[in-house]
Amino acid sequence: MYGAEEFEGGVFHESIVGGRASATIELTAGSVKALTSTDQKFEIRYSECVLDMGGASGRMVFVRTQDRKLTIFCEDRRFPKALQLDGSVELAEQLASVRGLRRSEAFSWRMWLVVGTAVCLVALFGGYYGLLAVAKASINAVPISVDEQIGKLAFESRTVEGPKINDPIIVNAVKEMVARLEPHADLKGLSFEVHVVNSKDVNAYCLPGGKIVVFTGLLKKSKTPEQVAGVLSHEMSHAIRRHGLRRVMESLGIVVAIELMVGDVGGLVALGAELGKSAALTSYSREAETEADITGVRMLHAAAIDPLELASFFEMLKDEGPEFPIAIKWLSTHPQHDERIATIRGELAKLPPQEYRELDIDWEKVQQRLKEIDAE
Amino acid sequence: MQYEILARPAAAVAKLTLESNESITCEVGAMIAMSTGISVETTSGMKGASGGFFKGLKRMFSGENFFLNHFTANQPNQTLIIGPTMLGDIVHHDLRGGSLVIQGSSWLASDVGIKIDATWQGFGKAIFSGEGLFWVKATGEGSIFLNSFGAIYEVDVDGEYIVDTGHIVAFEDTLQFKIVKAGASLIGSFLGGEGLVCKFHGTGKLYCQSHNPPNFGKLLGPNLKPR
Repeated sequence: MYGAEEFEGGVFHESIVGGRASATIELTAGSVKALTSTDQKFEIRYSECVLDMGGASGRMVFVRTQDRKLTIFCEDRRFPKALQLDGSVELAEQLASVRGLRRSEAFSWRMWLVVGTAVCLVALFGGYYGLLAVAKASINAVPISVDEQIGKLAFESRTVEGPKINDPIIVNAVKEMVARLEPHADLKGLSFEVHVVNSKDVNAYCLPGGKIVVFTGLLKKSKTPEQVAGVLSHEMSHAIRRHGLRRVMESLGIVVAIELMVGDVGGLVALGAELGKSAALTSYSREAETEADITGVRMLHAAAIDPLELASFFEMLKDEGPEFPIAIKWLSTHPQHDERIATIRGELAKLPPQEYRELDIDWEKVQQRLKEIDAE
Repeated sequence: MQYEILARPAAAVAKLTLESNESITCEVGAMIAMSTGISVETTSGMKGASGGFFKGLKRMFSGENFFLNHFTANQPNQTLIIGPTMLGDIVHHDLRGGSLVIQGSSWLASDVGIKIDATWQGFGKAIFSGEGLFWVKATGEGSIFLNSFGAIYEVDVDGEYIVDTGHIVAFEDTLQFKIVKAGASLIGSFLGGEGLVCKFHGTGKLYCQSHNPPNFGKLLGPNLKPR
């Protein structure tokens, strides 16, 4: 098969004008021959060949004389194979070692690339979650005024669910509940503000900073003022535990985290206000709900209001649930009430005995006023 | 085609004299002045060839333009003056088969028979060489005009040669470079201001530029007043 194949390549030699010319390369019985485009012939015997690999593509084969005065080169993929078959044994060995060297270099590059990419990814993910964790931990360092600003902006921008009720009997009744609970909030500097809204929804929520909104539907549904106080204790706990702020943090994650690090709360407030337009600010994770239940129970206990009233409120709603599938919104955002009743009872069991006092509220009169308002 | 490079090396321009039906392919915007007997054709591929859309896209990645301008003389003895955007030198390279690998924006013009394409040199080189991600690959036979930032110097490499990152203009396909640290220790390399360098290996012609656009930008940038 000698001379059967020809390859396109080139030659470097001082006798060529410019030192380099393209050439047709042929492998013969004893040597590598090249005929250049300038019609010059060159030959290197296999026994005198020194091989190298490289070039811009990394796969160009250089065949040189010992003194490097003549170089024949070829990039054709078939060339190394043909050289291995046609050349001498020594040449085949040289070629194998040169190719092996190239492969190990390419492999080490790839290794570095893989290791580098892995390190970058770990640093990126580690940094991201680390920053989030630090930001979460630093939430307590954010002043309460930020909660208040978010709550205020959210309250002003959201569509209120019904007309506001200013009736002193009703409003004062709710204020009395809040007044009993407020001294037992373990977050200082928070002041609660009560708003009663005429809506048949059985619902209540507390915005960050302490703005409480109670729906008349909840008041009508409750058998005792202590049941309402139970719901309020839970909602106030969201503000006390600053779940709204955490919710904002989760929504914007890393950006807010970085802003918090540098002490800028502007973005936090803006996003909080934006989330406040929808229900997003007052819908929390299950962990947050459980935490609010536990905090609520402790507050009720400290305020000498029977926490079991909250459990009984759940039980009542649970029994009546199917009949009021849409109206009982408070339950729809607070699922798994069996579990929650258990949480309340479990938390209560840990607390010392307490003598409970009824709230100083004429509940019948409140119910009467609610009926009168409906009739108006 | 006759050529003459004027005003070297600081503000070089190439004056080309074309005979009837002779053509040259230039970088978009390279023409400074020309005789009236020259027509211009704009394509994204080689002169007279159809397609070339993807080649055009690839060329854009290498820092060149999507389009190419082909200048053809309709009359004898027509003059075309071309020049680069950056201040610097122009060099003529006679490509005799094989290919020339050119740094992103250094290709200025070449004979119409030379194929201009983009080539990838690998991740390490893309990140650390101080050049673009892709390089221009000119293949065929004929004249190529290269431009540089500052002066160009030519080296005939046989064995090994080291060039600082950002100073490569072009090299023949028979050369290969690796990114290596300048000194024995990596920290020493960076403290010495050299950091990583390009180590060439093989036989062939290498063109380097005396200045480096990113470094010039870094020097100038902080002193510019905001608009």
